Amino acid sequence: MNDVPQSYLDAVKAEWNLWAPHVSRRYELRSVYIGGGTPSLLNGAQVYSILASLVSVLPVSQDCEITLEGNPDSLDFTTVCQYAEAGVNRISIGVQSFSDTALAVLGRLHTANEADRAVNAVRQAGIRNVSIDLMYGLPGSSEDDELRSLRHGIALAPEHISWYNLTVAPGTPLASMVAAGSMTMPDDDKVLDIMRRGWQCLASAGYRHYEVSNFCLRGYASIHNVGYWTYKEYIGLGVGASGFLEGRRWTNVGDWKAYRDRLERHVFPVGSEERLSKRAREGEYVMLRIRMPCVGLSYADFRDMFGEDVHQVFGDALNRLADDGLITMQPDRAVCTQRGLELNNIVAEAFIE
Amino acid sequence: MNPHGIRNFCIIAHIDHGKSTLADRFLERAGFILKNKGDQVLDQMDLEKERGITIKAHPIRLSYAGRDGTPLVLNLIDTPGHVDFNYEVSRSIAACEGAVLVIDATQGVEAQTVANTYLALNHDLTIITAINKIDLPNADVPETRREVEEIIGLDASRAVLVSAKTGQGVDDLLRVIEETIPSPSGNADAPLKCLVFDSHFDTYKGVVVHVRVFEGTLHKGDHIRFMATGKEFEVVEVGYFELAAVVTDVLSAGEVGYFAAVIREPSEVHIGDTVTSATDPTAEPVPGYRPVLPMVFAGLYPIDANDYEGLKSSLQRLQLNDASLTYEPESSGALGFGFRCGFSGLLHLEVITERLQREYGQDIIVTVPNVRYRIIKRNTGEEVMADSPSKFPSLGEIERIEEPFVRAEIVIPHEAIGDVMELVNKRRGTFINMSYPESRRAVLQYELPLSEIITDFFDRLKSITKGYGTLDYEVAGYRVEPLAKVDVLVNGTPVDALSFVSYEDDVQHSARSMLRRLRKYVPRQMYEVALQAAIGGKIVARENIVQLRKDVLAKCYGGDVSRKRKLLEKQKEGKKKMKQIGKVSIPQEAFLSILKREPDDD
Repeated sequence: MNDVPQSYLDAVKAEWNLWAPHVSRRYELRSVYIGGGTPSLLNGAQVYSILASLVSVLPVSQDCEITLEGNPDSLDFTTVCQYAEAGVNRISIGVQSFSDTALAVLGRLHTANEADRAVNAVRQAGIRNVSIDLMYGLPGSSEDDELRSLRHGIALAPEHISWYNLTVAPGTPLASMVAAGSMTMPDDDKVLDIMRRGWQCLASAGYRHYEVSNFCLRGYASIHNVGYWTYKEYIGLGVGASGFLEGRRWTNVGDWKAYRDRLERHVFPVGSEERLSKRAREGEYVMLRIRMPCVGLSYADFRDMFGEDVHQVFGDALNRLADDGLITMQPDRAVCTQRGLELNNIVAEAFIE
Repeated sequence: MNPHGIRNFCIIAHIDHGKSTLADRFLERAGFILKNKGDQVLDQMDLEKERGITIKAHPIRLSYAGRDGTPLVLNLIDTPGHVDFNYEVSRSIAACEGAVLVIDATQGVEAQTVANTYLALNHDLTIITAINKIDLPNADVPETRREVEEIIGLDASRAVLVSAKTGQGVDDLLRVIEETIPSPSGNADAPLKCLVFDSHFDTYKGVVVHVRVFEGTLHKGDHIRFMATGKEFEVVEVGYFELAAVVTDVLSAGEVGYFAAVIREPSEVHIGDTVTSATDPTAEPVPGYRPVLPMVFAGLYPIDANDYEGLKSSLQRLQLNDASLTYEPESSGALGFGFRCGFSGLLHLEVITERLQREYGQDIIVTVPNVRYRIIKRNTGEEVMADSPSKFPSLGEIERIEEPFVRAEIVIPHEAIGDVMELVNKRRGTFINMSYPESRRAVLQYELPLSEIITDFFDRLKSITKGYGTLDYEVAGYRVEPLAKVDVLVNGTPVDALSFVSYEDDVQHSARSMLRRLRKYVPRQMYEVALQAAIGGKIVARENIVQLRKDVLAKCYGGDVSRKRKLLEKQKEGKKKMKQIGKVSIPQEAFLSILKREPDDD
């Protein structure tokens, strides 16, 4: 298996060095997420060197969550031990499915057996916070197939499960197969039935449904991902990474050469960015908060964030959604009902201008 | 000007057979410099280019040296090209002595060409056949000749071979025009007689009237009278068009040009009307005048109520160049304030609504088009003219409903007779007569309710006859018919804008078809939506739209947030363009879908 070239790591560190003077002593490191692509191709020393350069600039919070994302076929016992030694305390495994047929449809290179082995290897290496990614709504899978895969995942007792409805992204091989008619996506009504049954399965196994597609045992919500939904600030490093800081959201250039060239010239490798108006930020904030069925939209948090009363800003929308049975208004927060989760786009749209 | 040196002609051609390119070559030969190569001068509006319909174009005067060195003036008169404008085409043709029939040597004879050629033959025009695009490798001149002779029945042995693109043969064509098209006759000293074949509105000059002078002479300062309307004006400017207007102060018998007479109201100038002298009028007008009456009515409503004034001023401006468009304010319970507009036909309606959206940026909803019904009330015998179903009295008050009929002349290839008769019978047609002017063509005469041909009749006719069928019609008066007004209810709320009038025997079928189409265009909503059709409170058809059950984005992490927000912004923008009927959002397309019958409806 190929290693990640040192030149890429050097470039990422160079990007971090550009940030260092702006952020040092102003922020605390609450979470690190090494993800996107196949980070498990990094060796232990490389992960260590990344984390070392982060902590040399920022103080680390006591419960700092350090996640590394990996595919089952690249997570073996020795490597994970090295990650753990380097400081990684959470591993997210891209299992996708425990059905070999479904994995083939998705174009994944690993098998269900390898996924089982990877979960075990991560456990044995001493990682106490394990997450697995699973998908449903796959072309050609029956409702029973999908739930069998989910139950298989639950039986491995990971602390965290991300259970996603597969969305066909434009430009992917799957998209062209669907367009050509060689694959048929299940219809929404069928997917909804699977989704409801799956949510019940997860709940009865003790998993809290804390975001549209995320489930965890008590105390194991992903600090990093909850950060996205509570509008915390973050810096993304690397080719195509996104960041959100001080009302500005940006995405780095997606081309390795352009990324490296910018950094050689000591320039931020930003490809696109937007500065959001207060109204747009308020809308986004609610759009994201409302994805979390338990925490929901806390009125006090909204006031802390924007200095305004959410009822003043979004009173009409909140009342309308409550009338339609999509949200319930509790004394201190608004949360989605089951229907509000199933129709979350309609809920979110009410807050967007 | 001496009429001996004048040739008045038009070009008849199918879309893309090279009419505009040929016109460009004529312009170049007359010494005009065309700025943008490939930009055709005659067709002006984008919409025309796209649909291949010529709606408005100037007549152009081209000056050449004739055979013997004497000056030669060619007036090229453009013709619009669709059934709704059939009358306008006939008036343009009436202004000419000859026509150049352009046939693409790679395509052969096409249907539209045939229709307009017959129109020209009926007006006794001299027809010159030009076989175009002979420079292309796949040009088939002998086959094209054969088609001209067999399908149209013209002698093609003397057809001129040209390439409008390269200019080859264009000089020959000009010489044949000079030699074979007769110069106009007419006495310049007789009382004035001009045919109005077009007009346009100029902000400074008012209505500019395009005329062909048949008798007499038109001067600046003349007191003129429009014979059909009786309106009189003083002529303030006389001229003709080259690429732009050229003032000349006088037009005499045989000439084509324009005049302006401070006419502020476009509705006072009717195409086909005759202009004569107010002091020394001619005895007989140019024959063939028909007042252009609005035949098809539909409500136009702004999607956003705040755009009402904008829509009003856009309609005002459109009407300046289109006197056959009428509008008056109306209001609808479902759609708010808008306008009831009158059109010469369905295509006219489509052209106007597209121009409103494209050129004037108006987001509008168009209601179901209908004809103007005459309703006789029970007991009182009072007569109500209803150009909208919402103006119908309640069911109990109606004694009888009358609807306008037309006498239609349908010219079709022989082999399509059976299919066309079936179509016409389904549309409640009454057979009058059939004749065979020659072996390949049949002429069917029918009386039909106008309402049956304003929707998609012409499209259906064209498809049945592979494009060769033509339709002309004139109003034949009102007839009593068993009709019923059908209301459409969305979740129990009647939507007046969706009401329509149906033939009683057909009510079940048309109501179901209407609801099915509506269902297709109304997206699933949060709640189940019931669509119902009712006559006087009695439900005759019902369709349900099942509720939307799942609409959620699975992944929304850092980089997804902006994308998601933008997607929602776009969706919300789309919803703003929908009309809210209670809690149900109905997109514009749903209202428009109602215009079209399904293919399986026939």
